[in-house]
Amino acid sequence: MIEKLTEEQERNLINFRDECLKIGLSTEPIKRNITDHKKLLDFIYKNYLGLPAPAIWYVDSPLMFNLVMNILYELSTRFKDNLQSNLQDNIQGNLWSNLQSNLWSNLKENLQSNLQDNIRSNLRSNLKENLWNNLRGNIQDNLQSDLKENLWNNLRGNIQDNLQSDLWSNLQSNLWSNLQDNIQSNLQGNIRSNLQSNLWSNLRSNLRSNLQSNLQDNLQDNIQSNLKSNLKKLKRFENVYWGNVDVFWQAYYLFPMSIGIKYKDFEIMTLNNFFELSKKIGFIWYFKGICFISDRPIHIHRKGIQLHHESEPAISFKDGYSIWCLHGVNVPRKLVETPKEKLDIEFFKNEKNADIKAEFIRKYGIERMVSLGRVIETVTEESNEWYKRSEYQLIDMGKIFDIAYAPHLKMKNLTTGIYHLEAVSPECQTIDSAIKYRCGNKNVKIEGIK
Amino acid sequence: MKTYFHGEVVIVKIKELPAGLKQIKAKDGHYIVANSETTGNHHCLEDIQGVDLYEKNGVFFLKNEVPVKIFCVDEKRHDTEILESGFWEIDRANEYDFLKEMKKKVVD
Repeated sequence: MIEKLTEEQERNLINFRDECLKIGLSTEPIKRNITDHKKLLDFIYKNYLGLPAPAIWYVDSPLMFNLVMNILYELSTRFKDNLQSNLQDNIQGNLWSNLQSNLWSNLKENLQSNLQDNIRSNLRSNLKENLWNNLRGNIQDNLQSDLKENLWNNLRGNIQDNLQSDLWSNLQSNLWSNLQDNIQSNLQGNIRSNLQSNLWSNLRSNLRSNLQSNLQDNLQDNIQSNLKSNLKKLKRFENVYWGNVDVFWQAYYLFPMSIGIKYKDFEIMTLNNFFELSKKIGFIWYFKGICFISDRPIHIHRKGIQLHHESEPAISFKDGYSIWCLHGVNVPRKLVETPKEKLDIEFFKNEKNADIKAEFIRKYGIERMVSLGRVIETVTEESNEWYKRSEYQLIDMGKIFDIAYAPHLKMKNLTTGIYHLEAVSPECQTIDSAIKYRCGNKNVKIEGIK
Repeated sequence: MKTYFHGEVVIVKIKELPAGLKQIKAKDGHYIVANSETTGNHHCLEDIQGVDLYEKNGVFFLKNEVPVKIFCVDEKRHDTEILESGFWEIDRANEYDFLKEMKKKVVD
């Protein structure tokens, strides 16, 4: 039983954490080395998915992955029964012209006219070049020999079955529980909690919780809903984005090896395999017969651990796909790029999301916001302790809505220190009635606000 | 009624659970009681022995025989709160939409 880390091990722990953080936040372009990647992926497919080796399809960004997937799905839906014969007959000579004439002409208008600002401004001019070259390059150069076996025969089924949840549950039952037992029986509790906070939690919140979630939400909002609503047969693809950002769990199990904890040979091989893969790729999506690998972003801007940039995208990829974040909140591009003195209160009136509204207030200025309204009630010395801490104020913002009375409750987030201004019913004339309204008209007694 | 706010989540102590509840299964060691669209910073309850979560018409109901933590994935946005044992109703706060002139739930 190891009861305490030596000073050198403590230093190594911090160095290893920093090394893993660099892997997860890397903006170096990946080397599209199929042989190298295939070896690592074949191991995962064979041992954790019970499937034959996949073909590999490289994309520049998670956006490109979504576009390619949606096109493949659309293709499979449109051709349905004659897909197999249609494509197989033409696969060597006429695939390209077949795809182009049958698919591109139908999709082009939809894609170009319906993508939101984010995509339109970055990709429209290059869409055909980026997307079509990617399809052509991958189909012609990488997949021809595997197409019949791995993809086209089962296209619809394959692209619907994202295997990441299978992989996760297999790892859970076959790897993590064994390693955890080993760690628990060989490392004193305080070391385990040290590793957990330094590696698992720290890296996870730096990488997965923030970066991955923002990408996921942005894509879902900006691409999937657009494509789905305009191309009715398209499926919404749920993505988990395993890849370099998931180095957090590998780090947690790898570090104990360096201080003498013994794992079985197969477990060591597995950990090293995943760690090597994390070092070589950006994001990854596992499907039966095919595996998509995305490049890493070319820029990642953060403030502390949160994605943040006050005038540029917080993350951008080389195909132009970008997302804009303020203090970790995924916000519309115009909120980032508009100077604060030019921000329009219409943005606040129309925005539905509380976090985005709070970021607007942070940039616009709380005093400037309050100056647009009329204070109805402010907390006093006798007020509830939590009301005072939250600096509650009831403010009539009727002027900005061009109506007689529009009460809003101003409140301070006690953890972040930022302000929210949330609308309550026109029947609310006091802070107490506003709180009651927020709580479903129950007679509440506030005993804590976090 | 004893009440806590955890961000936009309202947690009200109740005397007993209502009838007709559907039990919720935890995932990855926690329950999500309010998901976040913009940060992935969901409001979660820890899944420990003696804690059961139920749902009815979009509102969660908690029965906890032991104190339980409600926390955010990123604790930098909201500190963790500990709920004493008992029965709790967990819902999102209401807000008013002046453009549509209607009540709605706060989302983030």
